[in-house]
Amino acid sequence: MAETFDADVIVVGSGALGSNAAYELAKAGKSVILMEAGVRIPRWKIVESYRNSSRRSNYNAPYPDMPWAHTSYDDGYIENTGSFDFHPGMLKLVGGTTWHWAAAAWRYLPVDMKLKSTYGVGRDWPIGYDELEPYYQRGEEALGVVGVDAQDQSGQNGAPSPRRSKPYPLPAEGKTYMFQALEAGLSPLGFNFIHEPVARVTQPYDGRPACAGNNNCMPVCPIGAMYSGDVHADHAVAAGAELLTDATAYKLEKGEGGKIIAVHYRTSTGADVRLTARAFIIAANGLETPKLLLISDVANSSDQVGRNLMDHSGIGMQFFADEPVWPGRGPIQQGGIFNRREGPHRRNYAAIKHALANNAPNVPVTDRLIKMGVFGPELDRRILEDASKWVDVSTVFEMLPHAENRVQPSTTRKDALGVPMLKVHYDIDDYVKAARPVAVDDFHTFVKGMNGQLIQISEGFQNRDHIMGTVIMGSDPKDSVVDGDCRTHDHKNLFLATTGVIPASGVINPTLTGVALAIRMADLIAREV
Amino acid sequence: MNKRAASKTGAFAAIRRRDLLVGIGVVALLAGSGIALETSIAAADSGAPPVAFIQLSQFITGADLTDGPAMARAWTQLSALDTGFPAAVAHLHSAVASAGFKAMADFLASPLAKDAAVLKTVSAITAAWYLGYTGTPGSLTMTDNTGFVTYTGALMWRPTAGLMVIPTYSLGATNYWVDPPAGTAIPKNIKRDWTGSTPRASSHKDA
Repeated sequence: MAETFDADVIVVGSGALGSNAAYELAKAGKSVILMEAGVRIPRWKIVESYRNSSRRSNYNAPYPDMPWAHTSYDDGYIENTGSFDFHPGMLKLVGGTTWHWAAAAWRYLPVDMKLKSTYGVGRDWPIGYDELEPYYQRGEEALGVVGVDAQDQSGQNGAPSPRRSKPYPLPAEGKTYMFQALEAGLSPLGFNFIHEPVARVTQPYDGRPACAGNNNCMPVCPIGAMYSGDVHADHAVAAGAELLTDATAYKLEKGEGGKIIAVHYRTSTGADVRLTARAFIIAANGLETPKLLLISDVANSSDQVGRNLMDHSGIGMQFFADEPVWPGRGPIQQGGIFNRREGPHRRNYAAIKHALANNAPNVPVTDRLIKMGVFGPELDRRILEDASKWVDVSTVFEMLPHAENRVQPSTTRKDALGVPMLKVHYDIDDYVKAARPVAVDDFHTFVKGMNGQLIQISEGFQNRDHIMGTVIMGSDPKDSVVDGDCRTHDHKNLFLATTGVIPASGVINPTLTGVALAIRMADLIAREV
Repeated sequence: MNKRAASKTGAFAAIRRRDLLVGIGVVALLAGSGIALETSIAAADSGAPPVAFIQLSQFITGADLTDGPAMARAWTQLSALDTGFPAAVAHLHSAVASAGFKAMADFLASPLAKDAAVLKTVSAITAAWYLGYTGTPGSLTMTDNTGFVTYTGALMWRPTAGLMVIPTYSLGATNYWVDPPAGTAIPKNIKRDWTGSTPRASSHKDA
C-alpha cells in the first residue's frame, strides 16, 4: 500500500518567504499546507489600531500580541544574556513581519557573497550571485519592486551594479524633495546617493494601488501599496494551498533514513495535531526557526543551529539643516549614502550604509521642544521650523558571524501553549566597533555640509531587525546547517526559508534575498516531490 | 477613579454629567478670552474632567478642544499618572484666573512661568494635547504607562498641516513629494530625477 501524506509540502510560517514558497509549490500543482501561529487580520483593523495607539513609534504595537503568538516586544518573549539588548521587531500573523518592513528590496553584490575569499573575514556563501540572479528577478516580480536600473548600488559611482538580467519590474517613484536637497548639499563632497529599490508599487500592480505617500510604511501601509506577505498567502490559497491559522508548530518528528516525517502543532484551545508531508519548509523567521529545530533536536549535527546570529546593528543621528528640507512628504525612506557599502576597508572594519529616514518628525520634534520648555504660540512656530529642517540618518553596519552570538530555547519561560520562549546572547564585535567612528565622522561631515546643527548621535547600538546567520548556509556540513539550496545537511526533505540562512550579511535589508532563495527552493522541491 | 467617586449614586452621577455638559458649553464660549475666576472650582473626584482642566487645556494650547471623549481620556490618564495632578490643575487654574491672563503669552511672561511645579503641570497638559498621548513610551516593549488621547486631533500636526503628512493619510497622488511646499529656497544644483544621482566622487576621503 502506498504511503499517504497530509500534503506534499508543509510550510511553517506565512510570512513573505513561506508564503512565496507555498504559492510557487501550489502553482506547480503540489498539495500544500501553510501553517501560521497567529491570526489573519484585515489591513483596516491594523490601521485603526495604529491610529488609536499611544505607542506611535512602536512598530509592533498595532498588531495582535497573544499569549500563544507573541510579538517580539512582549515582555519575557526574549531574555538577553549578552551585552546588547537584542529585540528585533517581529510579528506573528498571516503575512508575518513584512507588515512593517518598509519594503527595502536590495540584491546583494557578488562580492558580498565572497566576503572571506575577497577580504579575509567572515564567510563566503556556498552559491554565487549568478546562481541567484534569476531568482532575484522572480522575487522582484512577485513583490512588485521599483528601482533605478542605471545605478551602481555598490555606492562606488561606477557602472550599474549588481548585474541584472532584466529591468526592474516597475519604475522608481519620484525623488522626494528632502532627498534632492540633501543630495544637492552633500554630493559635491563626494557622497554617493543611491535610490533604494523597494516593494512599494508606483502603479497598480497585482491588486495593489500605487503608493500615495501616506508616510506610514512602518508600522502599516494603510492602502496596501507596500508589499506584505499576506499577498502571497492569499495567492497560495487561491492556487489551492490550505492555510491553517492558530497553528503553532512545536515539534518536527524524525523518521527513518534521516527524513522528517511529521510536524506537530498546537492550537490556542489546546488541540494537538500531527501532520505528515513529503517535504517540510520551516519559514518561521530567523529566531523561531532555529528554536523549532533545537526543541525538536533536528538538523543540528554541526552544533550551528541558533549560532552566528547577526543583525545589522546600527546607530542614528539627527540634525537640523540650515534650510527646510521637508521630511514627512512621501514614503518613509527612499535610499541613502552608500560610499562605504563596498571597498577594501572591509578587511578591517564593517561596511556602512547611511539611510535617510523621511518620517514626519512631529513626534520627536514636539517632544523635544516640550522638554526644552517651549510652550504657547512659540511651540507651534518652532514645530514648523524644526520639523521642516529635521534630518534623520539611520546607519547600519555589516556584521560577521560568531558562534557565541546565538538564540536558544528558553529553559525558564514558556508561552501559553507550553512552548519555550527565547534566550539570546548577542555582543557587538570589534569589526563593527571599528566602523562606528568612521560613521560618526561621516555624520559630522553631513552636518557641516548642510550648514546644519547637530541634534544628537545615538549612544551604543540599535536593533535593525535583520535576523541572519542562525541556520547558516555553507558547503561543509560540519560548520553549517543548510546547503546552497537551503536544504538542511541532516535531513534531505527539510528546507529552511528564512534570512537566518544568510552567512555574510553585507549592509542591505535581506528580505528580497530570502524571497529569492525561497522561490529557488520551491522550484527544487517541486521537482522532487 | 477613587473610592469616593465610585460610591456615588447613579442620580448624582447623572447630575455631574449634566454639569459637565453645561461646563463644556460655557468654556466653549470662553475659549480664547482667558479664564474667569468663578469657573475655577474643580470637580476632580467625579472622574469627569473638571471645568478647570478643560479651560486650562484650552488656555495653554490656544485650541478649542471640542473632542469630549479625548478630554475625558486626557484627564483620567493624567490624574492616574500623577495623583497630585488634580490639585495642581486646581492651583494653576486659580492662579491663572486670579492673574487675569488673557493669553498664554501673558502667562509665559509672568513670574508664574518660573515656578517648576507650575511648569510641570503646563508641560503635562501640553504634551497630552500636542503629542496626543499621555505618559512615556517604553522602548522595545508592549507595556508602558502611555495612554491614547487623540490621533488626528494632536496639536503637533497643526503647524505642519498641508505641508507634511499626518501618517496614514496623504497629501495627494503618487509623486506629490517631488516638489517642496511653495516658498522653499531651492538649491541651484538640485537634481529631480534619479539619473542625476551618484555623480562622480570628487573629494571625499575614503570614498
